Amino acid sequence: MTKGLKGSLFGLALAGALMLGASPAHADQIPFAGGATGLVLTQVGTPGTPDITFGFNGLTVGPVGADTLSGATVAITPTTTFDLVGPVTVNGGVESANFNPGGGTISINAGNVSGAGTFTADLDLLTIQNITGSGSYNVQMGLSNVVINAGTSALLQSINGSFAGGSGKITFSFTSGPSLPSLTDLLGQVNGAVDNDSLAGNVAVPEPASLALLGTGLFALGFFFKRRLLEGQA
Amino acid sequence: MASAMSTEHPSLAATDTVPVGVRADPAIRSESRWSVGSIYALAFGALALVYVPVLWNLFGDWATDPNYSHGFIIPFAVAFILWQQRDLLRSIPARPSHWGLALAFVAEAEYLVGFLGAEYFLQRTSLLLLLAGGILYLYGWRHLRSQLFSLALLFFAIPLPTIVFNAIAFPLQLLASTWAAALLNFSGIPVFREGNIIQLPQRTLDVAEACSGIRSLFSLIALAMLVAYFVPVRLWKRLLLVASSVPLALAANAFRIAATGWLGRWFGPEASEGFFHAFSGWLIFVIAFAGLLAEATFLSRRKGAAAAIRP
Repeated sequence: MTKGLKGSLFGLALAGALMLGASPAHADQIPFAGGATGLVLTQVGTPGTPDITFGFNGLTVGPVGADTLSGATVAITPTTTFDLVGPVTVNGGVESANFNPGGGTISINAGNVSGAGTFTADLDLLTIQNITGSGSYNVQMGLSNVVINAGTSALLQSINGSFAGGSGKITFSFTSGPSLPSLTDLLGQVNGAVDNDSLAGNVAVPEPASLALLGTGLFALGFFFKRRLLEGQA
Repeated sequence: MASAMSTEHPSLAATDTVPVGVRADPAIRSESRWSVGSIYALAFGALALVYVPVLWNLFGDWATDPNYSHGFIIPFAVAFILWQQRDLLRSIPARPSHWGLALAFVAEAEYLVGFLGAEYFLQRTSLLLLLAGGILYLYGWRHLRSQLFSLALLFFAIPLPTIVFNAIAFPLQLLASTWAAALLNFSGIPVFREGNIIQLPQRTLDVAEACSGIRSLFSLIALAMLVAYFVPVRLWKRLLLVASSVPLALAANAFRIAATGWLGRWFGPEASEGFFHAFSGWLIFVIAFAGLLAEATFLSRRKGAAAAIRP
């Protein structure tokens, strides 16, 4: 049994490494109901070019569980085109946004902002006005090239639209850029200093995906009952 | 098994009762085989037509819903169990039963209701019922009994209706929040819990649906079933093993949420997010599963545990 225990521990370690590697990276999750608002600090880049580019590395809107969408399932991936018309607010100007099938990028041209050079104006990075269909949704968004500097903005301003379900969530993940901000960075910094009191969004504590959990267990079982399994039915 | 089928299957009875002279005619026998083959091909074609969209949709759920991503590995686990049972299955004589046909009709009625009502759960579970009916019709009750475990395991791969899922997840959210808040309080960290929101001195933890512990619960129950299947102990001990996985999973999830608070408190907010959070969640599940294995070891070492009961 000691030998089996050693084997199972080895199996657990191996499975853990594999499963963690296989599971999608995620940073933080904000539930729809969280009404997360806070502060994000940004700066502009070269004048005349899109100053802040939000590259959507993966944005999917799909039904959770057995829910069905009344419209088509929306799936936005980096490989498809996606016309998201200004899901952003620059200096208070809210533009509408509709998620449609497809994928692509969102660009914010800070050159349109007077006094370009440093984005210190209110910046609502994401205002989802409508998602076609009803039910519960998982929305995953990957941002890249976000430069954290100084300013006051809301990362997630609001989500409006025809949501009938209540279990959706938005996942932010950051894949590249000079800095890889955490939710704390995005929501909780004031002039470079972390101000946890300003956090209005809640930090969710999701479990690992069930694939990682059950997969780990099966690996361990394989080691634990190795001989019996190979011998076949007793 | 194939030879047993050819002599005992009701649908093939006519083949066995034809006069010897006719049976010996190779041309007629070949034609008969061709007819049987056509019938089977037709049946499988019809099944594929009905269930391929259902399975495709199911795969989509496995791919997008982290609560059910384990569905991808369940069929492999079942396939392995079937392979492991190969000698047992060969030793059980086929005793086809017409009740299997009745069960298949019930399954298709369930599918029809699910299809008309656009209800995925009914459509998907009808496939399990159809499988059960097929086994019963072709091989009999003993074979069906031998496959009940595999069918139960397959059931874990089917997402529950949202209304059922939420009915389970929401109480779990509250339970996990209550236990986690108690753990944090006990460890000297003052918290204020309001429903599923735990307010810590520096941040707020939201025990959302994805944090309810339902993933650990489903995974640990499925694993407990597998452990109980392979450990040679009496039936009541197997049931005890599976039952104990429920409180174990709930306690582990509460501990996981509390650990997020501890990490944030002791090592800064970053420690409670990203990789560390994912890793700690996984590690706590591993500890819970190790506890389950320890329990199985304990039960199998007790006196009177030698009698192995196989499904």
